[in-house]
Amino acid sequence: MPADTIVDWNEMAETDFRRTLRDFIEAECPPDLRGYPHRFPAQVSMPWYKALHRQCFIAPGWPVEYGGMGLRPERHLIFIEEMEAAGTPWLHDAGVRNLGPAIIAWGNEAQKAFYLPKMHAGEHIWCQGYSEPSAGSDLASLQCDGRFEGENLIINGQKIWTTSAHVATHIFALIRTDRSGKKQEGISFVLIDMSLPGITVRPIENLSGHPDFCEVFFDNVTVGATCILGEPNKGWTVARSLLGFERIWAGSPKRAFKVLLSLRQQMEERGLLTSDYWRDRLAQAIFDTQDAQDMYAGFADLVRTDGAVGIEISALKIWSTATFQRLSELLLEVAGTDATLAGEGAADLLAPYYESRAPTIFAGTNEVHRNILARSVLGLPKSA
Amino acid sequence: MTSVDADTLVLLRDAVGKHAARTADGRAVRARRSSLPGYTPAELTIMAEQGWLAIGLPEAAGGLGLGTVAAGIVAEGLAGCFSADPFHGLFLAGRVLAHAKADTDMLAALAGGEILPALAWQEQPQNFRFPFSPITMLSADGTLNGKKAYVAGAAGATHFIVSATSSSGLALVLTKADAFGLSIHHDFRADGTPMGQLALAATPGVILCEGEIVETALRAALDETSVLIAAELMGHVDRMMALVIEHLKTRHQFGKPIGAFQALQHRAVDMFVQQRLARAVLDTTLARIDGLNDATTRGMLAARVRARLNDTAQYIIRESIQLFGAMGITDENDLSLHVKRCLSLVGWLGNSVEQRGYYMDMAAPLGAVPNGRD
Ligand SMILES: Cc1cc2nc3c(=O)[nH]c(=O)nc-3n(C[C@H](O)[C@H](O)[C@H](O)COP(=O)(O)OP(=O)(O)OC[C@H]3O[C@@H](n4cnc5c(N)ncnc54)[C@H](O)[C@@H]3O)c2cc1C
Repeated sequence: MPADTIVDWNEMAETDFRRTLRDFIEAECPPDLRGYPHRFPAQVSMPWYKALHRQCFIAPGWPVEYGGMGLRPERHLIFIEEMEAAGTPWLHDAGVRNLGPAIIAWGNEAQKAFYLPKMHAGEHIWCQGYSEPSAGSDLASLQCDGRFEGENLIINGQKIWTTSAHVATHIFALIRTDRSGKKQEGISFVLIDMSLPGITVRPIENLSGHPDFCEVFFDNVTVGATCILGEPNKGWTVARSLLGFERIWAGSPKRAFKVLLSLRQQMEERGLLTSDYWRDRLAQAIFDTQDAQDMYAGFADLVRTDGAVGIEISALKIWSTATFQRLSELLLEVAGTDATLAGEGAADLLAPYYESRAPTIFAGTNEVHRNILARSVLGLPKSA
Repeated sequence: MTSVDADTLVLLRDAVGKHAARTADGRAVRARRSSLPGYTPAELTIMAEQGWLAIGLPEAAGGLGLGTVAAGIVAEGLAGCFSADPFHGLFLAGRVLAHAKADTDMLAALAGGEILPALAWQEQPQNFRFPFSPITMLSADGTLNGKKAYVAGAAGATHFIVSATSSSGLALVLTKADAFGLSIHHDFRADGTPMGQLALAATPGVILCEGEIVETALRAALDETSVLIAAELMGHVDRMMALVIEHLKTRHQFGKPIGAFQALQHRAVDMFVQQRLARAVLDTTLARIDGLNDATTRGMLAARVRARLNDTAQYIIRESIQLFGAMGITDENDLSLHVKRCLSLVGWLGNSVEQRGYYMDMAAPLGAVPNGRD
């Protein structure tokens, strides 16, 4: 990894930092890949992934010695902001995003040396295998079975909703390796090469027609016990430690802002801006989004001062994701019967509608976030 | 206006909080309903002594020059004793005088609580749209004729600042409360505090300013007071939330606290989400409002925070009453004091529909919607 010039990205003036990123995106990110609300096949977005890799921008949160930028959380947020604002393509990046920090925190030297560089270079593409047909919000009840046999672990069972599994080379999975104690205590965090015999992937087409997530089946898949990250049966702790930063990202109002632009444009084109009624609806949409931005900025400030966000961040996730949905529905209202037509590109009015269905479900469903807030912030009694 | 340091604001918040805790008296608030002037002389004295009346006035005029951010903290804290009256009315009058570059002696007298001016600008129930042309006329002989409505602080006012149409467009005219031809009728708001209607018939007055500055001064003062109202609403929202969360933990039905029912937990959390959102918008607005010289940016910010707090207050009221059950619709419950106070505020100086219209009048010519980058 090129590290001949060490730049302290955290100390650089914010405007310079943003400018560096913008210039880089301008120079390296193919314009025809920008602004799409879905992932491209891996080979299509790979040039951009590789460019990020070469510049050591692919893993902004990793420490510099592993090829990261060593960004502190608040800088990391700015990084994400710039990428989102420029509409850079979504990547198959569960590896650098989620697994990398876990390997850095929990991995042994051999694991670090083997996995991190390949992940960084895009040679290994990872997917996250947590959810199962019967283990969604109640993730700890997962059943995908791992049986130790000498030095090996034999895996049987199934994962589902695995984003990018159809393009991934590897999967990090939570596997049930002990059934004797509390359900959280018998889970191992396992790193699995998907080219191994016994693995089958079935893509699942989502509402918008893109195969983005998959089912993954394991039939006597044999891995070495060295593929376990952290200690056997302690995988729950490893997985939990990854949640922190994702939560503020999940509450970013950026997606709603994008719909706001389409709303404004559609209302204008359809001559609705002279109507008091539609003006009022647009103003409501603006306020809902702009207010979410104020809330987001408040939490980002907390990240700056405290280095972390508290449980209250769930409020932002609930509001931003619900606002995204409401705005996408308003867009359909504005379009009248045009909203019934399946379009493409900019004219695709249904795209934000479909896209906005998922964020209320992933990263913890909004109901689960409500449970957390009720107990931990409002201090309400244990649910009946 | 220079930014106020954080420590000053912390001390102020603390002082107002203590005052509210010491003086909160629901029984007295109930007993005072439908009486004039709607607050006690002692309350006014405290506000003057504590410097709260001077808080938003320029230093050059004997004020503290701490701006809307500090006034907002006072208004929010006073929700703890169920009402900030007569704070808003006096702030509004003071700010309009300051923006109209009025004589500093008068502002100093206001800061000391020696004179109590009230702004009489509104004539219709939905007047929050600019430019506006008052029906009240200033004649060539310097007298006023017309009607003004919804004047906060009219009871107890020593002076009125009246907006009127004059030969040079608009004028702000100062009259004494006991001036010839001026009569006041009092209506009572939902919380029992009075709001005045003025009739002016050949009433003599002194011109404070004329021309474009009138609308500039009015809009600035109305925006700032709108933010102040939002701040008081925030104070009520927080207190209603505290009451309702406590109730969810202590009220038992079906053998458990009702707060153990997930259906209610989720409703409470949704209320919390709105509370948190409103707080974020208010904090952002207070941090920015005093530094803004641009009327459009200021107006858009004020409109947005006001609409958010209006809507949040209405929502928290609705849900709180429901979650309290029958106890929610009794006057005896202190919830009712916050409810009635909020109802007296949300429709004053622009309800949410008016605020959104006001915002769009300013935003539409800019031809853009915010993109979240700045
Ligand atoms: C776009 C997308 C990508 C995803 N990518 C991945 C991935 O890469 N890897 C992976 O492992 N998983 C992934 N997931 C799965 C995701 O983590 C789960 O969808 C999520 O945990 C919810 O589980 P579930 O879908 O089984 O819903 P369920 O848990 O069955 O929930 C169904 C409904 O019941 C509600 N509910 C459940 N429990 C409670 C409760 N206690 N109180 C109140 N309401 C409750 C839920 O809120 C929801 O409304 C993805 C999901 C989506 C939508």
